Amino acid sequence: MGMAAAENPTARTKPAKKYFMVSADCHVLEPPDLWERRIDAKFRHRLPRVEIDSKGHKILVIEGARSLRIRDFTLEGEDLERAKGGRPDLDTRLRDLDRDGIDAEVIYPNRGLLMWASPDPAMQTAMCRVWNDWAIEVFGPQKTRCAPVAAVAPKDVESAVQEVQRVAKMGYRTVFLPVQVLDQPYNLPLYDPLWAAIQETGMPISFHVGTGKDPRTATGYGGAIINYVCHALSTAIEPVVQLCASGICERFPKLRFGSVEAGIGWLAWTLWVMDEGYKKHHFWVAPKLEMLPSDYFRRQGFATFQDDPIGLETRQWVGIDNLLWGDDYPHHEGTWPRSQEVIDRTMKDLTEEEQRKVLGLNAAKLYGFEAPV
Amino acid sequence: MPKQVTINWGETEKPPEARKRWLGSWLVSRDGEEGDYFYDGWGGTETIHAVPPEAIGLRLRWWPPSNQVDLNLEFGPLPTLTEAYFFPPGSEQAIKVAALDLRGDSGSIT
Repeated sequence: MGMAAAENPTARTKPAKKYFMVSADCHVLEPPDLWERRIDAKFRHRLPRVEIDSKGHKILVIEGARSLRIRDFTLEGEDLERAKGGRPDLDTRLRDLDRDGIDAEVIYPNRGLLMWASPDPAMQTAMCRVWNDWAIEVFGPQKTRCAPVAAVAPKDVESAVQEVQRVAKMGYRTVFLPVQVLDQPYNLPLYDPLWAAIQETGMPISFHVGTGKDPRTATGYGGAIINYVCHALSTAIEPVVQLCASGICERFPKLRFGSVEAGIGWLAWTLWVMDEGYKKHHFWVAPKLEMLPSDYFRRQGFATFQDDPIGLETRQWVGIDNLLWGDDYPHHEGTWPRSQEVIDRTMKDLTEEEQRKVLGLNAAKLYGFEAPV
Repeated sequence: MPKQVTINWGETEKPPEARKRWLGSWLVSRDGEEGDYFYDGWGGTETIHAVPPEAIGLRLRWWPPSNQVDLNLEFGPLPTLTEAYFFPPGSEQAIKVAALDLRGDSGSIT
């Protein structure tokens, strides 16, 4: 025992993994022509694309979002490795997961984050169906390690219900909805058939940031950071509050939902101010709820994070069972391939039981991965 | 309308890994709506296609070569669209198109 280390104290051996680890937020870089090949031809010319303007500049054109000029730049080292990562090739992908100590992953799209950019529900639905058909083809056979998300366009509720029922039969384990729906917020009762259909399947809802609202709203100095903080991450607050405060959780008590990739630093504050608003503005509040809004989150909600020491400091205000870690592979704001370093830095004050839950068991229970006993 | 179109996809001088990937679609309306696609493959070749009766032109898309990562786009490589090409009135039975001539970028994009 320990002979090798004793004989050569400088030898660096990979430590045995301590916990079953599930990354609740990973991404796949889809085949570049996935939508062009598979979508109903009448939508093809409306797909996100690059166009060349009269000056020869490359312009990013996305229906429903403002056009942006694409700037040339280069990446090196791990930045380049991340840019090349996330391919659907299973051998490479599983090797990348192993490298970061990940046993299982929940897989979100990459280009598919644009599926809700268009204001046209028919276009959204067509794009979602392409993703849903493809992702389960590729990752379905790896169900012990991979759970792709099923994308649903919610604005046309009837069509969304049909898609929920379709993807449930296909073997999906979670429904991916955009954080916002243009001109049709989630607290409206018209969504009840959708919540009923999702609850019936038992699939949790994942609201992944950067969807349903253009996350590249700000321009000029500070734009990259303003967009990240204000137009991407912060948008996750709204669907959480909508579901907790509007009576949806009361009407659908088995519906599970959560924010993905928004971090958790905002969560304790949000739960607190939801309750504060419910109590102090009681004369304006409707409907009256059987429990406080925060209680519904603790019963039915969850949130994922990557590198969020502030959020972990406030875990007692939220509840450890509601927090899920993810490495956001292969994105630049994620922790791959250095997740263990981030975990060591941010979770040193968590008990072993807390780490076990946050790093794997909570997600395993939610998404149906079998954790070793 | 022509009954047949020949597309030269260019880049024959480049090694296969440095060639663009192309998708060629029929145009079926002046508003830009497309019908079926007729080619999904790499450059460095020439292909011949029968023109369906509903086609009034064609549109091409290309992606970066397989040995490149397009670092400009956080969403991964998106296709670049060429200009729409409508068949000239009174087209002959067979016409020939050079894909690279439709890029509209004066050859500055590689």
